[in-house]
Amino acid sequence: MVIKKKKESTTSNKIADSLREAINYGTLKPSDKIIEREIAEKYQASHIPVREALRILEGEGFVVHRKFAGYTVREVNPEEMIELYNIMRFLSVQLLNRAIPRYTEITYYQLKTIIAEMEKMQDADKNIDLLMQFADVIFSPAGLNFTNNLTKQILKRNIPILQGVIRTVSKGSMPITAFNHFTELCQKHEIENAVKFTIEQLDVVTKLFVVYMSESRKAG
Amino acid sequence: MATKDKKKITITNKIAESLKEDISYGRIIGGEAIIERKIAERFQASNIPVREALRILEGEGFIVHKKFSGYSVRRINPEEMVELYDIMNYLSGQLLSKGIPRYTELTYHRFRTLIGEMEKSKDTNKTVSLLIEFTETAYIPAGLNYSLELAMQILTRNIPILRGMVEKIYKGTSPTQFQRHFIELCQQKETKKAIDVWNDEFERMTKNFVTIISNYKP
Repeated sequence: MVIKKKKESTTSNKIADSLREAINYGTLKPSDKIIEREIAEKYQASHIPVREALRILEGEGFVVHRKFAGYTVREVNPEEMIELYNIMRFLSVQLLNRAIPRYTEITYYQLKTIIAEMEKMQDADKNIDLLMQFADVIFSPAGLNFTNNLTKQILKRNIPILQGVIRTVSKGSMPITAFNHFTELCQKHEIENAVKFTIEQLDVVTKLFVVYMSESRKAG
Repeated sequence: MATKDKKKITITNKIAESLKEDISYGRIIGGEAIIERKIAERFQASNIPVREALRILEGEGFIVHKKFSGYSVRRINPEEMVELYDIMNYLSGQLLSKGIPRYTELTYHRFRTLIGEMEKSKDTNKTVSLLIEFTETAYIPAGLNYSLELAMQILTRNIPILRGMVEKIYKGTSPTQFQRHFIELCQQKETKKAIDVWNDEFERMTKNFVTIISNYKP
């Protein structure tokens, strides 16, 4: 029973991985329909792991599910991006203002470790993991569990956007200088400046990505 | 098969409803562990509907699940209420300032229907779901799908708080003066005033409820 379950989750993970890749490399385009039967045939799998894979992708924001229409590749539009930006800005300010004064030596050690790993990492997808870890380290000292969980959930559900941002705005690598600068400001107890800097970065990245999205939309 | 399915759903709902009552009336206190086996015995049910009921309660924010220790009743603390208030206040501002100018006759018709039902409702559950519907109706026209989803998710995952407010502050039935006043202002295109009225009511409810839970000693 245990073995069977393990095998099943591997099949669904494999299918999820390969669909994610197809979406990332544009083989599957935004608003393309995903037909469960076809995927099951392609991977010679039953519908159970296929559905599981689709549910994983839905949770990460790669696909959306609609009644009657089934699964389609999620289409992120510029308007939604601005909405997300507004929410993330609000949440970040709430969290950072309370969190930064509570940073300890351990926090700075964790931040430096993550930044060092980012510098080594060439894989954009792995960088997303590191980015989320970074977010968790800078936000959680606030002690605002509800707000922090909400922020995590928003990041987790928008992985394609984060990937798109990293790929188009910073060409696959992470903006290490920005992360270092933020850490320095916090260490100097320049809380206001550190928060301001974070918002500016968020603002720049969003604007660039919105421009990119609008252009690629026009290009069709 | 269909009959069996239906029966199963009814048992699940029965268990869920009865546990909700127990939590709302303080018969099970915040932090207390919920033991699946005991519930199964009490309702003479198998573990399947019990687990389903617990999942419903978790989704609505009545209980929390922790690895190794299992389910326990969620403790609502005043600090968390303030956090929730801040986020909802922000989202409401965004959704209403874009939404109100777009209200149509249909929106107002829906509002009036809901108010009518609220005035008739004597049941806390019903009142809570009507209040959620009223809020959703007010938020939808903004067209901010993401913010709407987030706001609705926050509301539906904090049913015990809403229930507590309706029971302790509204005594079960929602007074509809606030809703009527809000609609009037919207119709007069007084968007800013309408948002203020909305947020003031929300603030008043939150503050009262924070006082109630802060003074509550089990």
